[in-house]
Amino acid sequence: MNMKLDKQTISHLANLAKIKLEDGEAEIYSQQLSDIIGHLNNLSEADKFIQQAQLTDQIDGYQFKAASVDLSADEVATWPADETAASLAMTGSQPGQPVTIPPIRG
Amino acid sequence: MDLNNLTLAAARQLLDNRQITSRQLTEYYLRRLKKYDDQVHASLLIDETGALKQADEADQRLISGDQTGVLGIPYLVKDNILTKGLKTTAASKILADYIAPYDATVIAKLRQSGAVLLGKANLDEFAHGTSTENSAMGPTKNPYDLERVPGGSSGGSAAAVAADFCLFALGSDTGGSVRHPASLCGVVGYKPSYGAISRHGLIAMASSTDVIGILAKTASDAASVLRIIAGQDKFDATAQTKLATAKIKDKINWADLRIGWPDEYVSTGLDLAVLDSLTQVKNFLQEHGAKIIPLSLPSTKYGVAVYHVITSAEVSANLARFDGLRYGYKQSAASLNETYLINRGHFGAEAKRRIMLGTYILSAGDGCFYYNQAQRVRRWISYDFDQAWEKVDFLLTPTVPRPAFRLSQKINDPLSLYLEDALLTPASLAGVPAVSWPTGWSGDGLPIGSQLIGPLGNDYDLLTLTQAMQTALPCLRRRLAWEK
Repeated sequence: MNMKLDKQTISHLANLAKIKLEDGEAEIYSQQLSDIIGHLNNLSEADKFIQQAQLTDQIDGYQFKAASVDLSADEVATWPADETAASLAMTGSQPGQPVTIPPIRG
Repeated sequence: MDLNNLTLAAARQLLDNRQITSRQLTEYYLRRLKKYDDQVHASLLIDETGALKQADEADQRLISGDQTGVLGIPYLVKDNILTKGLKTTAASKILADYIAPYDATVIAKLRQSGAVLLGKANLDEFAHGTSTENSAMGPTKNPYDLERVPGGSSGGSAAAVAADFCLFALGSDTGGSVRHPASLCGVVGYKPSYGAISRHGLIAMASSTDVIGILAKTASDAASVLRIIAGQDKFDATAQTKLATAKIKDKINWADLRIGWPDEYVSTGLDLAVLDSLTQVKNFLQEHGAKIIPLSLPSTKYGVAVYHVITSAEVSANLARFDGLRYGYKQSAASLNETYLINRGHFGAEAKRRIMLGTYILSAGDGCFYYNQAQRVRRWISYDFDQAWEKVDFLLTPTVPRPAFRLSQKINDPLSLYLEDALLTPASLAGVPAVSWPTGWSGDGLPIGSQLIGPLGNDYDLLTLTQAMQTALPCLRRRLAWEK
């Protein structure tokens, strides 16, 4: 795959990611992200190596040791009152009242 | 008393023998920070009042006979780790005024053990980077050459230890962010096994590889901190990796060691001084009876590509919460879309790049293709390490191919900055422990590090070997030009 992320694609991605681009930024990001995508294309070569070395079964069936998780009991814990109050204060909300967010005008 | 260049272990002895108080030690580091940090810019916040209060409390505990590993020991913490009542900014304008309502688990454990929190250390915004130039609060400088980068993203933490502003510092390592700056600043940088230390209260970058790591002058000091902060945590379901032993050993039997010498890490692209330094380590091991076993990990060259596909995807998801409504900067606007755009406009350039790349990777079609490929190659990387552990106990590699580069040299070339982590990302993707320690100097007087990588859970054995190497081949801290 030889992908280039052109200015239009960058603008589309920025819109999806809710990021506002300043004038000229789309062009810079187009160049930089295309370079990076160019490097990511090396992954196709890795696929070929895996097939040629006949490692497909071992690798597709590989289980990460670090990712084994024993879930603990789902118990409700009481958060310290001062930390709850500090969290609510940051939102400008009162205990027992709905959490408020900045108003959307218009 | 000359406190210059004290290790944590030496400070522990002085405290326990009542030759010094925690207050005196804390005042010493506060003085150094005040006097010199405007040049290095390792810290973002110094909590003098809080630190002195903690030091006095530690002194009371010392008088009553308490002697835990870090009691009364001053430290700094990377500013993406939450500290109750103190600002935690992640070096981002988005969180410039954020005060965490609770402590990260590591901070709570250190607080309980009586360590003294001096303040917060600089980083690349949201830990995205390898130079600390992506900090919205300005870059940290390398203490050994103020015109060069300290590495990143835990550049403030590494520079602070190198500049002797604290006895240890916490950092975070997602794809090399503790080991890279440790190498460039000439200190020890230890990345634990994934899941050995709770991530609760670490501002998430890429949750599947994020770990909290330790920067210190010696591997033994890092192990002392690890003993305090490792372990399971009900607030982090992934903190489940049990460590094989509970402390480092005093002695090592060199002849029992099988050290892997992986071709892909040592064969190309290394600065000569880096290769020389690594070869000295290898020769020492060989002369003392360790078996050096050449081997191949062919997946290594794909580490950076896999890392940036997977972590960008996770970054774009993790940074979605900074939307102007839930977390971070909050400014009203005329529509919901405009609210998002205005508030998320405060991300720096690198965060924007990674969010957009992650958005692309998580899109159906070509992006999704990269993601599936990367997940597959990530399994291969882990498989390669497992194959290696059947033949060797540890892998010996360089940490970074070259010493510190100049500030601004690579700032407009993100790909070249990403490739700085070429030898660091595989251990992160596989979740295995790794440590960088200082092993030499370049012709320009810049520090050079070497890396040891070990099997999952063998963290203390890894630190035992690192400490043994530090003792056998000492690479002493040099005088800093700006120190008077």
